[in-house]
Amino acid sequence: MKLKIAVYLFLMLAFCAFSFHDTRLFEKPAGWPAPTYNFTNNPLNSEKILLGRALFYDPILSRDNTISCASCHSQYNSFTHVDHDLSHGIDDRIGKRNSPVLLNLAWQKSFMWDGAVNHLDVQALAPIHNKLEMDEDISNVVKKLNASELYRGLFYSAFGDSAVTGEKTLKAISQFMLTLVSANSKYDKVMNRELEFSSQEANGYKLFQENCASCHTEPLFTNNEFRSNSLAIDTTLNDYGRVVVSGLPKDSFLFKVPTLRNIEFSFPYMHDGRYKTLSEVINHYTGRDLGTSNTSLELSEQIILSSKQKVDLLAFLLTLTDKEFLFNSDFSFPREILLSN
Amino acid sequence: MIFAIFSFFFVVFNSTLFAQISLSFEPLYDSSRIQFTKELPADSNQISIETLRFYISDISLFQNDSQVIHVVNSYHLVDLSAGQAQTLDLDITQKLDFNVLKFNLGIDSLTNVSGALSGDLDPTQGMYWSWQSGYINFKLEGKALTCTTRNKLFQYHLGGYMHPYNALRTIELTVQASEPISISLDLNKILSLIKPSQTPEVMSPGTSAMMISNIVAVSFK
Repeated sequence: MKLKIAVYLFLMLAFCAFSFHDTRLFEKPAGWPAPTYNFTNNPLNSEKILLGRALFYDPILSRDNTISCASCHSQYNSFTHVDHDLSHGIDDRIGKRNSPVLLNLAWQKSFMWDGAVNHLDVQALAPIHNKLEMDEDISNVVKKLNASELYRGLFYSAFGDSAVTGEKTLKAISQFMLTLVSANSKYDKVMNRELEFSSQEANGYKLFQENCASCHTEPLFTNNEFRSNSLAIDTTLNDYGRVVVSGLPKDSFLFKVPTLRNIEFSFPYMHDGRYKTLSEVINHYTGRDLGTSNTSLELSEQIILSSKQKVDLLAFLLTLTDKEFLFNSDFSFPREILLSN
Repeated sequence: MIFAIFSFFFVVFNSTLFAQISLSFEPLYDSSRIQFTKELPADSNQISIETLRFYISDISLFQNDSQVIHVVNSYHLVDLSAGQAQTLDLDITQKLDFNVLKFNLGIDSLTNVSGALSGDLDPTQGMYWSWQSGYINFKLEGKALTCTTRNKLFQYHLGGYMHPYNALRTIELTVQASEPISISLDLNKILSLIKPSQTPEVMSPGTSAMMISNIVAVSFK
């Protein structure tokens, strides 16, 4: 009888696991919160992920087939746009913000610096339609994909149906993006007791917990909220952030708190990329001009750090670099598909 | 047993006989003033309409005050851009007595935060905002002689699901249990209340979208 119950329970568990998703494709790191993304509406499978990866790297998503998602989100710098304060898209047009890193998106509640996008599945619509980014239309993308033998084949393997729709296209792109989990930095290995911080890093971690963690909350290093960090308005952009989405004056100057994972490679920093180095960022937070522009409560008290402490904090921030993520071949350009014909 | 099978078939047969309830949406307009054309006609017509599309959802039927049926997952894109009536078949398989129709003009907030969806809700339908998530509940585009905008265009893309700018509107109409149930949308009323010359463009959630949604909601009959 006990055996019967055990077998039954095992089968139930196995069923639950498969109906949720294949755990080899997405694993919640130990001690992390449950993901925000609802996998039951888009269960992962390797064919859909591969399709999404092809779409991510294929400029077919843009009006003149020149710009792909990877144009502004390259793997080697943690899927952001290196070297540009404001990201540029089609015809070298300059956008109005710095592209964010793409990682741990299954835990993200809203997307874009101002949270204008409410679900990972519809995120790709924004750059596809933006005149400065891909300047295309999702219905035309679907038309192009339907006309492509390669994609009809990929959609067939992924969905059991070669007919391309907007929903399937977007869900496949989500599938690839969901697999971009970064949880193997030195910080993570220290937390898992595989490694130890140096004394400098340990001191930096303490300073981080005292001064930064209320917004850049572990283990995701963001609280997924909108905050004003007192940056002076750039009058060439006049970007007031969250207020444009919510229409609520209290949201003026508020931007999404970005994750700090892989911060070493995601320069330049801030929503408009105004700081090139992490030292500039730390100097901003310890600077004297804080307390203007609707500054969030977390920053109401001045952060005071000595120059040695600043170096220690920087040393800790570098422990958030995840080389396995940056060089994971599962995330890279799918040569075998996109160069095959 | 035979009786059971017989009565099962009888019920199925019977219900299919009386099954289909459908809604017919028809644009109501003064043809001497409004035309459904891409360009503003050279003659005396003052308004041309190129696009008239909207979502209706959450359909239910009532007999007086009591609900007779609620159609689950009823999301329909109605396209009256050609100026002709459009008929929607409802997923109802029994004969019903009713005298009130209730539906939402637009898409509810839960569906608005549910990611990529299929069919009438697929973003390729052109009724989804890209720069900011959310469905466009109602789209009316055209030209008016009185508009001072470029090419005399007026454009209303109404939507918004977040408090305090939720543009979803519930519409309740007294209807005849005819086949199909006919519903008209009074464009004379909508355009005379909006006044395209004064408000030619509303294309994002906010107070204007809320106000025009109120106007559209009272223009069904």
